[in-house]
Amino acid sequence: MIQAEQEARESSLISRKTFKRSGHLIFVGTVLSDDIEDQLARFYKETDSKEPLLFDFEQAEFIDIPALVNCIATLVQRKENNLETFLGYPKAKKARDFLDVWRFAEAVNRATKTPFELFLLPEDYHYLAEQQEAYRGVGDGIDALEYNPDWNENPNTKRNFFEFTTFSSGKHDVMQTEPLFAAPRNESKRWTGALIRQVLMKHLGSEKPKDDIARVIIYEAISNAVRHPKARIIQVVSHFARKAIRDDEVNTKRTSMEAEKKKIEGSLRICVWDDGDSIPSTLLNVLKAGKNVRAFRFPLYMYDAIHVRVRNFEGAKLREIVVNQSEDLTAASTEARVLLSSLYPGISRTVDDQVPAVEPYENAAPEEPNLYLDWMPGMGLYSLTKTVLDQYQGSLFIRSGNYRLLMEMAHDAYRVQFNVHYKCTITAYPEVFPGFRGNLITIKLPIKGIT
Amino acid sequence: MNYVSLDIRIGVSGVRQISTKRVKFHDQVAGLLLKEGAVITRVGSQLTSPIDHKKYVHHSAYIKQVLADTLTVASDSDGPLNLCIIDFTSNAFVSVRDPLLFALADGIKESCENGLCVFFAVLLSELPGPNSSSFQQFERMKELLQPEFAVFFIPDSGDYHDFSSKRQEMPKFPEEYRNLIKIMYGDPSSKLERKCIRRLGHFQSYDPQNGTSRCRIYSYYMIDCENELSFLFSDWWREHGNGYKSILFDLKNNVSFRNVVKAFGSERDILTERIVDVLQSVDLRKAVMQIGKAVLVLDAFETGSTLNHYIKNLRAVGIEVSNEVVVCINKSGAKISRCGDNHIYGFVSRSGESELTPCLQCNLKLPFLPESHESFLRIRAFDMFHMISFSSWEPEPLEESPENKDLRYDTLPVFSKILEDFGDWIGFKIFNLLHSNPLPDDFFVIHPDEADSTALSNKLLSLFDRKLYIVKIPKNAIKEAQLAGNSWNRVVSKYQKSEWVERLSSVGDAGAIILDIFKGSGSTLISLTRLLQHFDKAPFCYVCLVDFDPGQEHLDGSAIPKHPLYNWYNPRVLLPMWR
Repeated sequence: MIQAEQEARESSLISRKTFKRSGHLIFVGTVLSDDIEDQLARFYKETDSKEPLLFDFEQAEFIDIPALVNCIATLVQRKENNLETFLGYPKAKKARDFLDVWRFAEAVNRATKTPFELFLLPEDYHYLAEQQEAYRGVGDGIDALEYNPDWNENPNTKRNFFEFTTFSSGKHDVMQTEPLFAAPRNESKRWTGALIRQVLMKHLGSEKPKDDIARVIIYEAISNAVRHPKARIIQVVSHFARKAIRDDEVNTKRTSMEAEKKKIEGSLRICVWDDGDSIPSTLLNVLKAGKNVRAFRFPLYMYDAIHVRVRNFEGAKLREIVVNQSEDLTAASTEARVLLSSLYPGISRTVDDQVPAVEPYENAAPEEPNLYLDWMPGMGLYSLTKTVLDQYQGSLFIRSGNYRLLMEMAHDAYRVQFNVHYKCTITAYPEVFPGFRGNLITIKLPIKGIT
Repeated sequence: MNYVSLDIRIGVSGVRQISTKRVKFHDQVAGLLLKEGAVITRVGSQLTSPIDHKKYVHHSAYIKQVLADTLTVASDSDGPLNLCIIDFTSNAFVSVRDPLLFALADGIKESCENGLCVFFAVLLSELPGPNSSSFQQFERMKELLQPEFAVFFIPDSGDYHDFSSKRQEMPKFPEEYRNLIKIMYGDPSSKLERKCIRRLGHFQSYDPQNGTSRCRIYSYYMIDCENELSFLFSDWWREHGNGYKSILFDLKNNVSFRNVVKAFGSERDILTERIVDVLQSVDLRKAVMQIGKAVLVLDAFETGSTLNHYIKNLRAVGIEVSNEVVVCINKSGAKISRCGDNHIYGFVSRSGESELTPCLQCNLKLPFLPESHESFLRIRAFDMFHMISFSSWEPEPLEESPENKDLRYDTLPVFSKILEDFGDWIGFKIFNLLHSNPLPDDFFVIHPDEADSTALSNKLLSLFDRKLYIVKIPKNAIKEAQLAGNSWNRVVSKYQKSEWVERLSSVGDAGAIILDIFKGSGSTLISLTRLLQHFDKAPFCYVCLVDFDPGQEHLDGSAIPKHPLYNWYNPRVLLPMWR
């Protein structure tokens, strides 16, 4: 069936030339997630979104990982609606090698349950047979993590530590995907290995605890995804984006101790995507059912103030307000506000859900079995935010429903002017833009080390 | 002075006895923290404090309840408590969620306010970040609590963080605590010895000096050993590595060691690259030559052929090589040996592997297996019969055969000998098999109390870092239940006070893995399944070395997934009464 479909496509003369201008999204140079969304916005505005769509990366030099995840989410969404979508591969070999080493094709295959070849333009099929050349595993710890030349199909380890990893529910397939419920545990354990630990300490600040990225950031981001209603698939991918140092420069660098201490800039990006219901819709459904989403209250001094700027997709400011994490939500709260509140301490959809009764502990006082039933849900994303923003001075990006949210520390002028701890930018998508498929959390941690 | 301790077990549902080794560890930690020379008495619960997966994910404040209950009961019976030790060291640090520590801060605060205890030592393998939500919550305690209190977070390094209202100096504490941790969790060298197993298969190695290949039936494999290798390599470097600025390695069969060596080099700005890359890249060669002598690191040393080949080639391109060579496994008969002028330092010593010429497996056209990992989940026929050829045959032991002696197997492999010679590998195979399926968050192993099954479960115990809970059912009890039509009511009542009933009663919601050496008719499997049902537990899966009745998919109407390592059709025919 699939082979027949593939053959039909090959003979159907689908090529770059066959797409209308409106459905031919051309990406040039470095492609970021914003570029994908800008072009999609044009597509949705100019068409009824049903015509075939081509993500054409032919002129791309590099595609950022959130852009790749965004692409996958769009492919999944359009496939579910029986809409045709195609991908055009980059001409730049280095960009193709990146896709190869990060296993983009397998990630598309697993998320859509469709062979990658059915999305790729037939004229680009020949690229799939080529060998990558850009990654050799020679150089520093990041280089060694990005490519292990001795990998030898070892299922206990990854060829590229940062490559797409897919977790899925349903029947477990040893070689294809890992089970969903084990995702937080397995993935966070992977981030405690000797080499990744050393790289994180060196590049993200050696004074930080060795395992807080694994223990808090990876674990909480993935366990949040696992708990989204209808989540059937989770993909995790990451990338140390740093100032490009070519292989020949790496070698030259070793000859000079002065050059060896060259400072680098960049960031570690970690993306966690799931195909579950959107975060705001999940919380709003609970509120609309007249239920509570706040599990408990802290003393007021424990809540932080946030400067929030809401803007439309074109960048025009819609609102600017200061909110406090202690604010209460109602069924009338906006989707944007509800999305932001998912990061507050003690906010969770599971507050009113049935939870298993607390087993009495050995020797517990039997007459007071419910004395400690304040069970503290809704602390996962709060802990994640604290660690990303306060500890690593990073940023947190969430794409969900009809909004995207960017959360950062409020520095200097902002902190003084508005008396806030964090600042947040929320972008509202136009109505023609379909809701984002699933939820994407992108964590960005700045590199502080040297190479 | 008295103290109470909590042995926190994350992801576990059953309550178990705290081991005597851990009690001694807690006694010694209390001795370091409480007044010097005071008589220290441990009071309160002698049981572990499990936090099962549901509570771990959805109910982080459960730890408050555990803490309050433990302290209340202990102080009610033993008066004011001088110290409370909260021990998380049985769990990987990564599994101690921040919301859980956050809730613990609340629990400690409440306990101080209620006057249950004002001195707490939280033992964790490392400290959480200073800006994490839990750390900040502990910091806030100083502002909130009026009475004097002390809370120490103590990582494995012993370099504690003091959250107390009045800071205390304990200059000797870090070193003393490090020693206690070392005693509690074992030294890396002996741990590594246990993690090195001999595998069976069809392996090929290449002799670069002669340009020939040879086949081997054995290969050594190191399981999950990054921590141990990291410690041992750093230790070696401290003593021998001073002054070297480059490491050249060939670790294609040991990815853990590759990661450790790369991490070590990256941390200390030591150029660390594969030998093959250095030989191929002119720029890398120049860089190494500028730096000076390089230390060679290999995954194994046996005849010296590969080592001499590398030294010769590296010297030929002008690279100076140290005569101190590090290997993970030294197969020359000792950990430290010599090869010409070179000193070989190994972390593990194993005997060499005999060559096979001509190779029967090559004649049979059996493919080669990778040395870096197990590519087969089950046991190949060739390996099974190789093991049997070593172990010989015997009639089924009387004490392990069914009541009706007519059903006894006349000839079986000597499983005890197989386990003696190849038990580590068989245990590793089962370990891999279990991990290739979604395991429940918490599980235990149940098996007949026989020597062979015990030998196998001991291998698993070691692979699961001694965290596996095992329930052994006496053969007599199984036979009594079988004679009663697999009804366990009277048998369980009869053995009410026995250890196996107590252990089975305390497993909580853990899933059961039924383990056996072989399945002849499935009667033991049926009996153990019924026993588990008696305790309201569903078996999760069945694992055995050999399944003599592989066609039997749904025994006793239940569909327990069966994972034999080897299928061999030779079923034992049973009388209808067993069914």
